Amino acid sequence: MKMIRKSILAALAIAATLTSCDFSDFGDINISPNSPNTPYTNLLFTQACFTTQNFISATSYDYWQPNHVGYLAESGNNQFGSLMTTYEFDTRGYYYGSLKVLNQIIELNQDEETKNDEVTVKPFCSSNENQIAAALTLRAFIMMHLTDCVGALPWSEAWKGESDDNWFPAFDSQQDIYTALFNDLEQAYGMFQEGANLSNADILFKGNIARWKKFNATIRMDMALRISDVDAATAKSKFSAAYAQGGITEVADQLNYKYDTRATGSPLYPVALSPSKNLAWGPNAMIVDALKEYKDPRMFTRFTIGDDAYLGKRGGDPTDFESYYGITFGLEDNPSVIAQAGVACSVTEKYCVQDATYGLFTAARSLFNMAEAVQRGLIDGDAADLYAKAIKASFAFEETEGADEYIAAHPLPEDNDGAIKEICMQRWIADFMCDCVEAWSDWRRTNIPTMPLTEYQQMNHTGHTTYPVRFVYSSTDSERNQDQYDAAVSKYLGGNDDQWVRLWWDVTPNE
Amino acid sequence: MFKLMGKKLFSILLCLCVSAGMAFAQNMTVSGTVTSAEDGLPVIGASVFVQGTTNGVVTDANGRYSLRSVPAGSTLVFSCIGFANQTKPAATTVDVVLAPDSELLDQVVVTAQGLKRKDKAIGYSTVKIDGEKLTIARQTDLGQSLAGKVAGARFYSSSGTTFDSGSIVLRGTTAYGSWGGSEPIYVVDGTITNKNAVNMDDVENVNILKGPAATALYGSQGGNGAVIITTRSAKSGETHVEFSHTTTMERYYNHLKLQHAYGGGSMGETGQLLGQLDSYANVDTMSPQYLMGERNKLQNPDGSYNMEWGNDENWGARFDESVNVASAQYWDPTSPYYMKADPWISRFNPADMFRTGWTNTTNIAMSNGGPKHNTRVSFTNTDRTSIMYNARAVRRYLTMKSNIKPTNWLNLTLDYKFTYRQDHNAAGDGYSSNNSPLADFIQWGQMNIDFKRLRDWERPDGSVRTWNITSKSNFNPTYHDNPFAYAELHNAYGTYLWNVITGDAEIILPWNFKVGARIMGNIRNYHGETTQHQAGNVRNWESYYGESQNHVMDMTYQGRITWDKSFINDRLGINAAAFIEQEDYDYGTLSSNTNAGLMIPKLYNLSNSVNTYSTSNSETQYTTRSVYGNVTAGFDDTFFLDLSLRNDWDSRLPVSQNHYLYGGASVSIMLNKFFKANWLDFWKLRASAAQVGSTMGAYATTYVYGIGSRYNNSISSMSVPTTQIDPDLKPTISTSYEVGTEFRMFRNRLHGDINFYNRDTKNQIINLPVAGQTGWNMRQINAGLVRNRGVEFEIGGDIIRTKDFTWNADFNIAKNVNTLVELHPLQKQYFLRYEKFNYEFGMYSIEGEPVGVLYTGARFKRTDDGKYVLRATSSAGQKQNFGDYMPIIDATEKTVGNFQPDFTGGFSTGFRYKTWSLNMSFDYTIGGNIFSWTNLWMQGSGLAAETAEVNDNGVNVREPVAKGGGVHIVGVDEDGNPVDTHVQSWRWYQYKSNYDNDGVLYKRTYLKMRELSLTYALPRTFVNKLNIGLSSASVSFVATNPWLIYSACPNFDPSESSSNYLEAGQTPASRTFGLTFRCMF
Repeated sequence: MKMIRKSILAALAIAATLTSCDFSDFGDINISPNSPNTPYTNLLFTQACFTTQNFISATSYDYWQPNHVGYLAESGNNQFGSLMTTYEFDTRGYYYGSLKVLNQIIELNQDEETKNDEVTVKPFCSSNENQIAAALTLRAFIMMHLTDCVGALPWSEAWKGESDDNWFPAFDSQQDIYTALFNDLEQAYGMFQEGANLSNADILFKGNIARWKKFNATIRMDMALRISDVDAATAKSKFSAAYAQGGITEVADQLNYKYDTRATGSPLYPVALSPSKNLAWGPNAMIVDALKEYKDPRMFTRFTIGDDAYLGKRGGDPTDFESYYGITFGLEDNPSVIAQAGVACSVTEKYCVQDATYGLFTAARSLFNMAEAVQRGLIDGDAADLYAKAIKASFAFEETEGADEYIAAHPLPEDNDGAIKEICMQRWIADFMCDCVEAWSDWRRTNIPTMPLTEYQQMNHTGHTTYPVRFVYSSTDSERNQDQYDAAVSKYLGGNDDQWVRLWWDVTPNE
Repeated sequence: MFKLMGKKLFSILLCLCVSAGMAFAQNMTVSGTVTSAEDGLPVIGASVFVQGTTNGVVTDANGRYSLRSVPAGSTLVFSCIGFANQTKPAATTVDVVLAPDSELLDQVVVTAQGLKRKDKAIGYSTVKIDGEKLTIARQTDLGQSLAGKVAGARFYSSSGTTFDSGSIVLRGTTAYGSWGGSEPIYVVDGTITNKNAVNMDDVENVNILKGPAATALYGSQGGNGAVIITTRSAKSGETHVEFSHTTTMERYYNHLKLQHAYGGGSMGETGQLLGQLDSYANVDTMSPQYLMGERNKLQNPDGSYNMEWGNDENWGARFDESVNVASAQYWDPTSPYYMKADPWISRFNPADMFRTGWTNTTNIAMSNGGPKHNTRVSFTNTDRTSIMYNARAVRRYLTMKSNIKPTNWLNLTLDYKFTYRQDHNAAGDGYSSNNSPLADFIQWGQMNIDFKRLRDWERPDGSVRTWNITSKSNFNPTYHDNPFAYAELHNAYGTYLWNVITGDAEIILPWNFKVGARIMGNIRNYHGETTQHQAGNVRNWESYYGESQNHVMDMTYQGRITWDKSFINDRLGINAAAFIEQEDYDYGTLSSNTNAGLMIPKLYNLSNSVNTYSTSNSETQYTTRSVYGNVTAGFDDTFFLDLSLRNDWDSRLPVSQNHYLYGGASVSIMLNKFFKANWLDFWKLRASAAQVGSTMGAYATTYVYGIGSRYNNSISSMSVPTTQIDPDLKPTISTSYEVGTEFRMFRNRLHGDINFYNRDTKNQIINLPVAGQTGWNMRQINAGLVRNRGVEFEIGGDIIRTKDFTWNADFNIAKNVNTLVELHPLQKQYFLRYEKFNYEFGMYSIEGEPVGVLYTGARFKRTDDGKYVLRATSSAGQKQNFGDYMPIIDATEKTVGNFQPDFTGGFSTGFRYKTWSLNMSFDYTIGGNIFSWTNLWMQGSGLAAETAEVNDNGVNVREPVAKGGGVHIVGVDEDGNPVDTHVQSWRWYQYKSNYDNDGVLYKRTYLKMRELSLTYALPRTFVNKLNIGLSSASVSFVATNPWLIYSACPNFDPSESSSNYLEAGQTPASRTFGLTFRCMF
């Protein structure tokens, strides 16, 4: 019995020892050694900068951005283009990816606990204000594109999942979003401190705060012009205020996107990579025909034919406009597409190299905007001079000779309507392979140039004769946030989430 | 006349040793014969003793004995393991008939944590399989050998050319997002390890514990059941050397039905169209003379025609041996077939792509057992060349199992198992996969290609010959390279080194206490290396070098105390055990590869990469701590109760709730104790309930940022987390109940087992998709309830049992009903995966349905009873293309089936005549659906038999409808009126492959003979006469996968599908035949 008692006591002692040590304390073992646990503002900012290239073009599969404005057309077959089917625009990744990244930069620079942390200020910019201002500016630029694609979107209730337990954010009207973006941009403009530049993590303006300020004003002018049909008073006040602060007028200040040396590279690089170099997307007949009609020398710096053609080979006199053909988008069947592609010109090598530089928001675009604003009475100025400067900026950026002769051959018409038409047409020509979402917004607002659906496309889209004027929401928006989605569709789209429902600022029907 | 086998042989050997070393006394001599009451056969090795003395002998091979010096009036004791003892008074002749010991039926089962429990005391379903049943056909993989042998265990594997060992799933799918189900753990001699580290030659027996009640003691890892493997060990007093060798031959096993009437190219498409026109009524538009000659003017000076080398479909001209056609080699001056045209006939034979594979498996094992130690050492070498060229698999196993008893209170065990496992160029399936040349060719190929000719793939200049040349002057492939070139220019090696170590020390204390300490280690290294050379004109691969490594260090430290005692005159027995344990797991990876080719050919070094090479690494660590225990109580050997309780602390769970308690209880009652029927040997009723918790992956509880792509190789970027983590995440809990019964009757001639279970798995950790505008893409939360309900049934026994002949059979069947009872209030279905060519098809988990709902995105319109709905063609063009009617394409998403099967099971049977024995095992699945790419592409590219069969008019379907050809379709029109028509075959099958996803959905029902063996054992008398120390020897003919008896799926084997809802271009099936020789000294 003694032994048993002893054993029991021993067992209890062991049990006591076991329970006294804390079995649930594992220290830091569950902290991943494979990924950072702390955010770095410089790295986050670069991530957000990458997003801007999406507005030029996709880099594979479906190049809807240049396709929606008649710059590129599918040349290999006819089945994938976004105009063939109803196309959804998914904003999710922007919200939880790029825009959230910018929010995080803003928070880290606002929060008293983190704003002076070495990882917040040291690698990127010593000025919290500059970080916030650049993040707000870039956030507004991205958000403007999103709302211009689909219309109403969550804004005031966005990013409140974890913080406010709001997993079903309501949609704000496009007008409210524009108002909020104007405010953010104006606030940001006031915060910029030119003394402290951003680090090279800013791949857009190489850290140059002066250029950020010009860009900030330029976006506001662009937005103001866009709403000029629907809200002339706001447009006038916003445009003139931004114009007074100064926008981009020099090629050296414009926003370019230099694609990086990684395998994905520029949008047309994957095409150049393929062994047969058969461009799955080639020049669209719309832009080629326009250059032909204008006898525009940018034809020769953008496109090429002949034996030395970078992609594809075809005969003809490369100095003759009549030798150049584009591909019509929306042909009857694959053989027709392939037949047209077989005689079409190619884009030049500069668009196809891996680390190509594409214009994103060009000086030309900014100057055309100012010229249009003069014609529309938003500001006072010399429209013809701005128009000429814009063309010169475009020629200069594209390294094309003959701007003066071209301006002489195509002077700005005297009458207001004619002048506006000409400015819009020239802006569309100049915007080739720049920010194609912006170019599409211009077309939707001004209806210049005309972009009719082909007979074959009309068969797929009964009752519609022109290119679509918005994207439908992603099915994930309707599936994951159904009540708010339904409310938004009924409130802002007349109950019809359709590609041909016009956005708030798009007041004239397209023909 | 020694004719006993197997288990009996073993018991005899035991008898032999038990009765060794007996001394003699004086007086009378007693002799006689000992026979078995069961079958009348002599009992060899039974011991005969004079009671109360050490005087005794053992019976000889004829059951005879002779015992001298027996005092008159004394009592003789006859005993042998497996039989009840008998006593008889001494006389000159004493013949004894021994009755089998009912205690023989008292089998001992190894349960969780190596606890040995009487079969009677187990209140849950276990299946025990003897090692010899698993090595019938000398399978080297555990999974393969278990196929069909366990009720309720589903076996998935790919074909043998993938070297895949297959996986087992017990009792269905438990997770909403893992349709295939999760594998059980594999426990070898008490250590949780990998099934690939098991040498089948060492397996003594395998115990399958199916439910959580059985595995509660293994913690979260055991939630999907456990396969407990006990390896062979040396027996006290025995010294053996065993040797076995198997050589098998492996051959391609064809399941394809190909057409042999029309050749490659697409000219036949034009032939069909023109043939529809009245103006071509008198032209044989499908003939090679017309298509290649008259129409396309492809004649060469020697009169032969040029075919469409650059094309890769088989919608060409009709075969006609009177016509000569120039192959790709015709134009190649370096080819022996240069300028030699061939008759236009079908030449493609799948077997030409493969060689005969050979496998040599050799095992040598030595065991020595003394009074205070026993050791067994075993080595197996398996070397297998696949039927695929330049593909090989090597397996080497070295095991050592030792037990030492330095004193009578200490017991030491040391176990070491080393496995070397290398795969070289394992086949893999897929669309247009280089690793699956046959699948690639039957997706896009030409029946006129002779693969024997392509074996000589290399031109003198180093470029590669292909059948699919671009033109007669350009020998670069249009689409397809020569598969034999890939086989030799691509070399991928994957090598595993496994070390499984177990050390155990047990101290025997007073009052039946034992304390033990145990260390268990799994130490694994993997090394993968791929070299690839892009010879001159190769299209589909580039030069490449890649190397990857990973290591696992998984160590478990355990302390335990066990106690057993009986009370109340042995009527109440109690076993108790308590454990404390810590597991430390560490997994690291490092991999690197070149990009965009190599600068210097065949220099396989990362620095030789054209673009910057890629490198990545990762490290994963976790720790779990556990305290658990088990108590079993038995009363009167009739009523048993078993209780288990376990608490786990897991570093992978959120700190706020990183521990959880669970356990199980089971009861069993021996009903045979209540019946005095002597035909009923054993009848147990059992019931159990249990819960098992499970954990989550490491590092899933805190946010991490992603290192993003690096702009211009210098400026780095960082992404933010997109899945929101619930800080109070709970572990997943499975709750299960089961009731069952098992019986053995008629002296073990008939046995059976039936089991019902219900298993609910809740608190699944799911990533719930949320509106992206919340700032998150997903929320990681607890949700979902998956229910598996089922019945498992096994029956078997000896149908005939006579002296010279026995016939036994075992049969099992199981039905599991899987239901996703609920997912989440905000989400009723969860998308699992899809495939897409033109329209997607794939799989969902949908609330209220079994996990694995299959859907299609487009189909030919059919009525509810499966008839095609057709539309009358209107334009002349449509009539020319289709005929009078054309299919209607319905491009809406639709649920079409489910991948979960209705029934699974297997059966095995054995015949023995004298020392000959024949054994077979079969497995089957009934129901469940599977998509097939092979069928989709074989039809689309015009290779499938049905694309060139003879229709009801007696005309080949390839001929134009206007000439009696076309596919015969009996359907209805859109108004429901019957339609009996013919549709142009090219259009029909091309449309089918593009749009009719429903058309490639099949039932996965099959019946397969998986193993066959015929063994001849040398008669014992002969072996003894040899007098060379040999104790047994046998030779066997073995076959694996010999016969796919029935398959509801055309052109492929549904039992060999790697992705179990989709046959994705199946790797070639194979079957093996060979000889095994075994002997023991």
